[in-house]
Amino acid sequence: MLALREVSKVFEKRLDAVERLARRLGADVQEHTVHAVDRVSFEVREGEVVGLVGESGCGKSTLGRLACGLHEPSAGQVLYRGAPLDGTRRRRIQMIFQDPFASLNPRLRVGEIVGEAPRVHGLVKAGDTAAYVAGLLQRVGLDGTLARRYPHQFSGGQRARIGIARALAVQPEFLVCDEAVAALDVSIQAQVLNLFLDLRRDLGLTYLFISHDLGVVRHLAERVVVMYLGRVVEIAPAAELFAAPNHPYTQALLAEVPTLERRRRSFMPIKGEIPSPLAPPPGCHFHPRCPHAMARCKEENPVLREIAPGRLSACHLNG
Amino acid sequence: MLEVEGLVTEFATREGVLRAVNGVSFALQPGEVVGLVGESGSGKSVTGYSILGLVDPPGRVAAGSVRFRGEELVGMPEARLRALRGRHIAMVFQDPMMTLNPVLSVETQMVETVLAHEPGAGREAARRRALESLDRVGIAAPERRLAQYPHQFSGGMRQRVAIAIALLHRPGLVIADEPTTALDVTVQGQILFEMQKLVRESGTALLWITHDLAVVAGLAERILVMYAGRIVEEGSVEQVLESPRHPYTRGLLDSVPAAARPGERLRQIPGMTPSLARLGAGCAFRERCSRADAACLAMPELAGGVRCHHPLC
Repeated sequence: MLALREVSKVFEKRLDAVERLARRLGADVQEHTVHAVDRVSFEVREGEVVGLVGESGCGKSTLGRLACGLHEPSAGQVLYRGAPLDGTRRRRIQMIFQDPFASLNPRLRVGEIVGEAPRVHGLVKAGDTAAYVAGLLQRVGLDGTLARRYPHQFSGGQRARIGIARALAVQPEFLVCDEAVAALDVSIQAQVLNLFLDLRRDLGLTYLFISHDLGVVRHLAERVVVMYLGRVVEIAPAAELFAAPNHPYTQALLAEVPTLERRRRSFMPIKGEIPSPLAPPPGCHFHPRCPHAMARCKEENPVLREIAPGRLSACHLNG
Repeated sequence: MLEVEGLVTEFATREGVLRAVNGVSFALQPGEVVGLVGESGSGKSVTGYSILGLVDPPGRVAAGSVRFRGEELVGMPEARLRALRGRHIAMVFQDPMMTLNPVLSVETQMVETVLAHEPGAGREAARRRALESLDRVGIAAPERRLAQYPHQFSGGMRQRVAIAIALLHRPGLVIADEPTTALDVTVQGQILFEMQKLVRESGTALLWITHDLAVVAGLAERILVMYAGRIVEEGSVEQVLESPRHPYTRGLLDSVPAAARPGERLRQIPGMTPSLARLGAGCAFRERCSRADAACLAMPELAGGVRCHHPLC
């Protein structure tokens, strides 16, 4: 349904006039280039839930924005149902953002926030908008009469539901959820996760679910894509990934997740922190932190290849 | 070491006086790690601030007592409290920039912290202490790091520096308010590892305030669960996580996705945390609770580790 082909996104910080002058005078000022997403390829099939995990700075949010057309790729292609993204296709892919406080315009009533896009797209006539919005609010578990209120009158969980209603308003087929439940309390998070499950069943939606929370991804996703410093290091069906991770980074990530079952354990952390994406290490990006690193890992970037049917990993240990 | 008894912290607001902390009592032994767990607005952070006397107007500690090594902290003169804070009781915040000054080098900040409590220590000795402390929290090349400014550190490293400052005087009690919530999992694992080691080595008591049950499962010996300003359940980690007695604790555990079968609906708690302004009498959880009946219109006492008229099992 959605295919990413060798997609890259490069952000450049060019020098401004002062910095150019400073450089001419001999100051050590440089242009910065960040490879936020580096030749990423994978597909999301119709009706599937794909989880995209990784830590801060791994490029997962940038990838989410590329997938729904908010960013243009620097190289590579994003294909939706076999063709590049254009106006109508883009409408079919909607994004749900993390921060329920920052992603809703505080000056608009909820009815306007949810009802504006479908009216502009001609999905609903102006006279029918109110009823349409009320239906959507009910769909996400809010009272339809709340449409006249402003965002500040709602709790965090309710705002998350408004964000979902706004995305559903243009009748999407595909939702990109970027840390959509990260800001919510556990009990509210459970309610919103249940809502995602219900919507998928009732509306046949496809999800790209981006999260740093492996517990959430394990619960929702059928397949998982793991990213590290802009590259995909592993792709596997969720059950297999959590049972037997292949890539050393995935292994470390899973080992670090605190769970309710592990009591008063000794934490055995992997070393170091994620290097700056401005200057990623050569070869395999993970080698400075990897317990199995070999000479080859410092020079040669391992390619992502199939290690078992439906499983891909990018590690030299696999031969 | 620490005894909190009937602590009440109130905030004067336009909607009236709100009790963010409402009669909280617990005790901490030296070397003990206790997890204080609750959701937003449960009063867990305000409890931590109240212990240290850090509640600013319009908030105030209205009743109760906090005794540290037998000494009463509530109503203690500010000068005496300042001498205690940082030296014998330290706090670590969620955002390390609450502790760090962005325009001073780490060295200046650490040396000043030492000298503020021990004016006679001398700069050179204070600097050595700072180096030791950085080394203890796992910061590589402390010599070089000491000269740097907070913006030159990553988020995880900043939190380590904040912890290193908290540990400069080897305090008897550390209150940690969600110190790993903003960090990546691998970095969180490292910080938890360091904290665990420090508590074991130095016998420091640790009150770990968090919304994350999984973190305390790995770290704490005892758990206190707060809801709407009150402790609703307390007990050993095993007891609270394996056989919770309060319906709220049960609901929280069921809400954690990792515990459920993938793809199945989670057993959610209906509704949301009630506003403190509209609590009324009775059990604060009764409107979200499937076991609630007429008895719940009266506030239950905390008895046998649970505050509930109809505890589970």
